Amino acid sequence: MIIKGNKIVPGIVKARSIVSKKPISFLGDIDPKKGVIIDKYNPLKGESIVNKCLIFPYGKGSTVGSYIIYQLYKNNKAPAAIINKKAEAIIAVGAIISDIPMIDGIPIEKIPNKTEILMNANEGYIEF
Amino acid sequence: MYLTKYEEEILNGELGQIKAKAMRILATLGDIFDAENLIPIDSAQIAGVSYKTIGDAGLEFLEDWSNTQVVVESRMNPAGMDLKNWREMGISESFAEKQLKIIKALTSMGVKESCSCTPYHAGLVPEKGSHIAWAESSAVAYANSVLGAMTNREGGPSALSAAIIGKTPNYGLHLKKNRIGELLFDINFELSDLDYSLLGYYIGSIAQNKIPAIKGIKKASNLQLKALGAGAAAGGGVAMFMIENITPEFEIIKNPEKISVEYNELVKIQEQFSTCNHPDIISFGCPHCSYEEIIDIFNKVKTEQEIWICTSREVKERIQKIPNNIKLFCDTCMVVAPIEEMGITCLATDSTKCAHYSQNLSNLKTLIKSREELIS
Repeated sequence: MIIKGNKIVPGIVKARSIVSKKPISFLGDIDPKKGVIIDKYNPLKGESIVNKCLIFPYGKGSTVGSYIIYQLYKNNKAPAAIINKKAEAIIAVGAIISDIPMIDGIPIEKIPNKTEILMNANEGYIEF
Repeated sequence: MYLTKYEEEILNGELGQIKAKAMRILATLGDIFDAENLIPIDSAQIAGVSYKTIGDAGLEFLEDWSNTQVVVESRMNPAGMDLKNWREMGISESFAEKQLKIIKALTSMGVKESCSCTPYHAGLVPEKGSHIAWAESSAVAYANSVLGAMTNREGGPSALSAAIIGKTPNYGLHLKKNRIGELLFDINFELSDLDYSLLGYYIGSIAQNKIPAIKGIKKASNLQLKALGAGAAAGGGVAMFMIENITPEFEIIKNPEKISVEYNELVKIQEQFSTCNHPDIISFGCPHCSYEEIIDIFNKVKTEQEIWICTSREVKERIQKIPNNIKLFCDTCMVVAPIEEMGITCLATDSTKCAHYSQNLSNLKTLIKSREELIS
C-alpha cells in the first residue's frame, strides 16, 4: 500500500513501525537517554523508539521537546523516521535539527504496528 | 512557501549546514502555517536560555550551532542565574558551569549578552508596524499589543533561525488581517495594579490562543499592560490583546463571543495562587522590573523581610544604592532559576505568571498580593 503525504524533512528510510494513537510530548513522555516511551498513560509505555519509524498524530507540550529529539539523536537513540497526521512546530523543528526524515498528512490509523515501512520523504510517500 | 533563489541556495547548503538547517526550520514553519514568503525582521529575542529549562539537550544543540553568526540585533531570554552574582543566589557550581556554557555558545553567535524578558526596558524598543521574531511569551504580548510591533510566539530554535537568516515566515501576527480580536471581554469595575495581572491570567485562561479584545478599561499605564499581557500569556497562550482606546490596534470580528468579567473571577485566581501564608522570600520582577518600578519599591519599602527583585543588566547598572533587605539580581528570574533547589518553600509575588510557573514548574507554594501590601 502506498500513501502520499507532505515532505517535512527529506530522506529515504526503511524501518519498523511503532504507532502511538496518542500525541507525544518529547519532554516528559520519552526518556532521552534510552529512547523509550515513559508516558504512563500511553499503552506503548516501555517500548523503544530507537531506529524505528515513529508514528503518532501530532506533538504537544513544551517547545523544549525539539531539544529532546536532538538529544536522542546525539545519543544515537533517535527514531529513524517520523510520520505525523499533522506536523506542528515542536516535532518539525526537532526532526530538522536532528536530520530525521519526516512526513505529515498521513492517515496514521491505516498504518499497522510493527511492520516494515519504506518512507520516501524526498517524494513524500510511504509504502508498506 | 515561495523562496527566492538566494534563499534556495541557503536551503541547499551553499552557505553551510547550520544555515541550511536554520533555513529549513523557517521554510518548514512557513509551509505548516501557510506563509507565502519570508520577510525581513529587525530583531530577535531568543528563548530557551536557562539550563533549567533546556538541559543538556539544549546546551549541546547551541554548542553545535555556535560557529554561525546572527545577522540582526538579537537578545537572550533570562538565564537560570545572575551571570555574575550567581553564588549569592545559592546556585550550585555544576549548574553555573553549564549555564555559562550556554551563554558562551550564544554570545559566540553574536547574540548580545542581555538576558531579559523586557528588552523594551533595556534599549530595544521595536517600532510600531515593524516585524520581529521574539520568543518570550510576555515580551511577545507586549511587543504586539502595547508597541504595535508584529511577531508570532517563537520557540527557541525558530527565533534563533530567524536571527541567523534575518527573516521569518510571513504568517499569523505578521499579517494585518490576523490582528483582530476574536473574543470580547467587558470590564465593569476599577482595576488595581494587582488586578491587571489577575485579569490577564483570567482572560488568558479563557482566550487560550485567540486574541482577546477588552472594553471598559478607562486608563492603563504601560506597566499595568505589561502585567496584563504576562498574565494572559501564562494563563493561556495569548500572543496579542487589544483594549479599546488604549492599545494602538483595536479591531474585533463580527459578532464575537462576549464575556462579562465578574470581579469574583479575579478573587478566585488570587485564591488559587495563595497556597501559603508565610513566605520565605518576596519576589518582584516577573516580567523584569523597569528602572521606575525598582525606585518605587525602594522608596516605599517598610518590611524587613528579604526581597528579591529581578531585572535586566542594563537597568541594574543604573541603580546606585540598594536597601539592605533587598537583593537585586539581573540576567535571570524566578521562573527560570532553579528556585526549587534553593530552599524556598513559600514564594510571595505580585505576578500571576510567577505564581503559575512557581507552582507548576518548580512545585513551590505561593502567595500573591499587591506590591504595596507585600512591601508594607
